[in-house]
Amino acid sequence: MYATVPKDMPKDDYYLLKSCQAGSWYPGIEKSLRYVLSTIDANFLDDPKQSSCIGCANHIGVTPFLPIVALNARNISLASLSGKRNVVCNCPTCYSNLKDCKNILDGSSAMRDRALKAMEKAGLEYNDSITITHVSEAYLANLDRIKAKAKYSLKGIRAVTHHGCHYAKIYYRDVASGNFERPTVIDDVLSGLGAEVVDYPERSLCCGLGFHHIMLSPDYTRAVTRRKYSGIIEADPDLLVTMCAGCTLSLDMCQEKVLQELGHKKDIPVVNISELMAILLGADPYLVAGIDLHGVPVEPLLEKIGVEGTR
Amino acid sequence: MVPPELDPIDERVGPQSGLNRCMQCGKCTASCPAAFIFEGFSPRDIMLRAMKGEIESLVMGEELWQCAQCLSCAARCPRDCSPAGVIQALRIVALRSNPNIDHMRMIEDGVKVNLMKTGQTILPDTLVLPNDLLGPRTRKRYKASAKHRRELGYRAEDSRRVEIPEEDLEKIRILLRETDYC
Repeated sequence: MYATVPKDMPKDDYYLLKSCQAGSWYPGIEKSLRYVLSTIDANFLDDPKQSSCIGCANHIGVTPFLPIVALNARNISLASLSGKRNVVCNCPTCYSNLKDCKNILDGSSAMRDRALKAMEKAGLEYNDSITITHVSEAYLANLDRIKAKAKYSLKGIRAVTHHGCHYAKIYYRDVASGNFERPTVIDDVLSGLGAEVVDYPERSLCCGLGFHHIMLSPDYTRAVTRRKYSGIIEADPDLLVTMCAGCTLSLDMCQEKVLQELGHKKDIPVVNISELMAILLGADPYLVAGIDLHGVPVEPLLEKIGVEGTR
Repeated sequence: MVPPELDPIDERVGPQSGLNRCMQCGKCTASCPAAFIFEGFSPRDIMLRAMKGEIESLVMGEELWQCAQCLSCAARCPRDCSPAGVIQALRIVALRSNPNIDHMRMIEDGVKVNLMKTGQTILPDTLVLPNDLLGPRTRKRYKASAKHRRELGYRAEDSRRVEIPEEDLEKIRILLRETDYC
């Protein structure tokens, strides 16, 4: 149940690790994240010096691992020296990629030595005392504060969730609630705010993005989103909640065509957990959450929740 | 093009990869959404060929690029192997030795330019969604995204609201150069 705050779950002093995917495709996710952490008075640092983690190019397989480890040695050190030592990642790929890099940097290997040598050349010192979490875990840890400040509830809303593969399946022992086959971090946050969270077949299936696939092999994206939505429509939800900008892109942008092919007439708004939290806390759905950037209109959900001022 | 061999310092083909302990049970292939869709794609088979040292045929093949990196294989492997990690390492070898993957080298170059210029991997214009994945209403909304970005205070050309300061970009460039990336 949601009341169980995972062990070692930092509630404050966050170093915000911004995501280049979120910033490129749904900047409202990032804006919402800042809005939520400010509104619940969680101490956080939004450091412009932080670079991209290169996680997506790492998975596409177009950037060697060594420069990735070196760049994240710098990101980890920036957080560690900032005093805000709880790195909170907006993106599941940043989350797992940062953990991969930290493991290498904390061990002993030729790759570690070369990455640290590059740091030295750049006049930087490696400093590693940080924790790494995903923002959905920060919401779960701060659920009481979110509930206390929420202007709207999710009572009467049927929700389904999709947890990012790079959150659940890489560091699969670290899933904060549930397990990697059935992670329930977002579920717990949503049910804590009154939603009825329902299961569906293919819950743990990929979102269909596959990084380069959505551009170069859209057959993969088409087939996977179809398989995913075949399961989701069985649950007949009011909304689908994600934790990753990439998953949001694939499931949101492909939905219209897939549902049409499946003969399902009702839209299913796809929102990222940060956008939803911000909206429930009273943020402007357009100017903070950026719902105009979504492929599937989010307004029907807002009307159900009772949010005023929708266009 | 150089003859293909695995990079000895790439940890993803080191002891953690499972190349020394994969027992060919096939749980990875059974779990794999790409294997479900692409005929002939099998993470189990990729592990077998990598264990046998058939690096050249692996890096010349199309199937290396069919994996979508969901990591279901690694999560479900009873021996904690990571076929997806081995694939990542093989892709880097393929970029240097397979003449038929210019489309991937284009992505490689695009990422390099983005990183050196802005410290970002993905920028708003890096990924363009193919029209035929989108329905008509979605297409219309997607086309308006640059305008809505601006309303949120984000520039069209950067994934960051506030760009990385120049002196920090210079540190980032040194790290990329000192690791033989650029």
